[in-house]
Amino acid sequence: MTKLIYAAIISAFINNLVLTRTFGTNSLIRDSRDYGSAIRLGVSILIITSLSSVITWPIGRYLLEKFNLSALETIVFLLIEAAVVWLLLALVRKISEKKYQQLSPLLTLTIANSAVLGIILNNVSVGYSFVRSTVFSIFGAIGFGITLILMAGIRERIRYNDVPQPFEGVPILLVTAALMAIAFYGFTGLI
Amino acid sequence: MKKRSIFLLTICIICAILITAGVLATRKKIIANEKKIYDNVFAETFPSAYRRSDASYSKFYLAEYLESYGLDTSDVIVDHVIYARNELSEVKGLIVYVKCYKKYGGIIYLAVGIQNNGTINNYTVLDISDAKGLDLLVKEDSFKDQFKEKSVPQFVLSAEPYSDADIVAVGGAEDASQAVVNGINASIYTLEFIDESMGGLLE
Amino acid sequence: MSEKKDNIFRRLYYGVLKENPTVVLCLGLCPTLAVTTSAKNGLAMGIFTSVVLILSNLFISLLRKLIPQTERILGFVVIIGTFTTLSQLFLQAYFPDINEALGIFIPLTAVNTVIYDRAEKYAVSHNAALSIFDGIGMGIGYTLIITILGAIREILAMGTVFGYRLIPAGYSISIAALAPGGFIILACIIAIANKINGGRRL
Repeated sequence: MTKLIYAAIISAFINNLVLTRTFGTNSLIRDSRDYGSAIRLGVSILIITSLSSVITWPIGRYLLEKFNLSALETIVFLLIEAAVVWLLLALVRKISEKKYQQLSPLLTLTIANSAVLGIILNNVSVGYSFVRSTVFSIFGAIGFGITLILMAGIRERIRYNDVPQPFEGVPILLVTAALMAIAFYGFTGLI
Repeated sequence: MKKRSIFLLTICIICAILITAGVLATRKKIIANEKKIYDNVFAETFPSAYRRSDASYSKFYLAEYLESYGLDTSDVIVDHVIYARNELSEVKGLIVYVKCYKKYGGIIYLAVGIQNNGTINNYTVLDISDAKGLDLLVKEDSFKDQFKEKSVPQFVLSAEPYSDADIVAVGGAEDASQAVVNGINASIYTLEFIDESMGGLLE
Repeated sequence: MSEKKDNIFRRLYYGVLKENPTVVLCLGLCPTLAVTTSAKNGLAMGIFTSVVLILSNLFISLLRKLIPQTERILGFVVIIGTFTTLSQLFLQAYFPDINEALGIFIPLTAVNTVIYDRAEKYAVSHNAALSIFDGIGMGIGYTLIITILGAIREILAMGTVFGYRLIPAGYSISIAALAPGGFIILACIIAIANKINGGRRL
């Protein structure tokens, strides 16, 4: 049990999806404008990653690797992810039409999010067990959401700061991410 | 609605045909590549071996033995062991295939060549997953040379090479270095285990 | 931009300089930061992504009448995934050491934002010839920047560039090869490009 707790902390903080493995930096730059969009993206990534991971692990391990077709993992997992997003959108549409209009572009774009595909491919290709994979996926996505929210908060703080003109826009966000990454290295002392 | 589905289906069928063609065209070459890596392992870890044969041992007791040294299944898993034999079919050493878990995620798959008297020949890195930054430097000779031709009870990471058993880690890839050290220690303990359990088959 | 002035040379110019995908449009940062730990890896990744980009631009632009508007993301996923898989198989067969060095970022080219952005903004509305050169231009621009980034990080972290030692071993800044170093060096490169470009902001 302690091994699983360690795995959770490791995948959320120490081996952070975006700050250590640099998987989702595009989302970090574009979607952390304010708390609302950060939380929306974080929650959608959490739901989509968890569901996709649970479905893709058995298919990857027992179907594709048995027949030596691991090169097809990419496209099969992408299609499974798209199916999960489609199901999710259908569910949201049933609940509220307005929310559907609001969330549709966001959820459709997370199909092309490298954080989700990265973590589900990683779990299958490294060969972790099912429980460990699921823990890694769920807590990796939680760590990603936490990083997005932190980034949104910092952006709010530095909005009216005096940033040198060439650094305005994306570069100062990258420097912020670098400082956050260095701070996150301190988490290695937890284990 | 129907038109859209038909279009999407056409695209899917075209892509499926392309992928199938690709898989069939490259299948032979990929298998040949894997065989080359497999053969290369023997050339690198135990070049003097004339014949090789699979060792049979109890995985359960080996795992227990490794645990008594502090390496449980979340650190190291010994995959399989191969005897390296000379022309007279005597066992001259082992090639140990071991999966080492890096502390913060990822696996390094090693093949370690170790002689009867406990001297490490060399090791080959078969796979590093989740490689960040400088992890791939554990494949370099500058790191491997610290292990070659040494016969110690176990290796440890330290800042300076005070003794034969001290290994200086690759700067910026400490968890990968620790994983390799764990794997090589595991192969030393595997040699001891097979020696004991086979009742002195090796010196 | 007006259709009659949009020719292949303009596409190349835009791809490499004016609308460079990494430095100006800030797309596809994910593989950029991860594989540029050495110049050779950066170059290999750039060429790989360019090939997938050109092929998928060509294919999407040829099929642009067939792809339905509302489900175009699905069409892109299938086509781009196909070409990524084909290129990945090619690498596995003929260049296995590059395949191992680039690791998991080969399959992640299937979700590279550069390819999706060019597919959505350009390939679905222009003909095949222009799309191919758009791909070539963007590909050259992308490869150029990540090779430079890889070279800088390799010099700082290991002292070599493309394998040739420039700085004696032991005088290295290891953090340049890890994530924070990558973020900062990329930020400096984008800032330099912004300065040269005369204050264009994203």
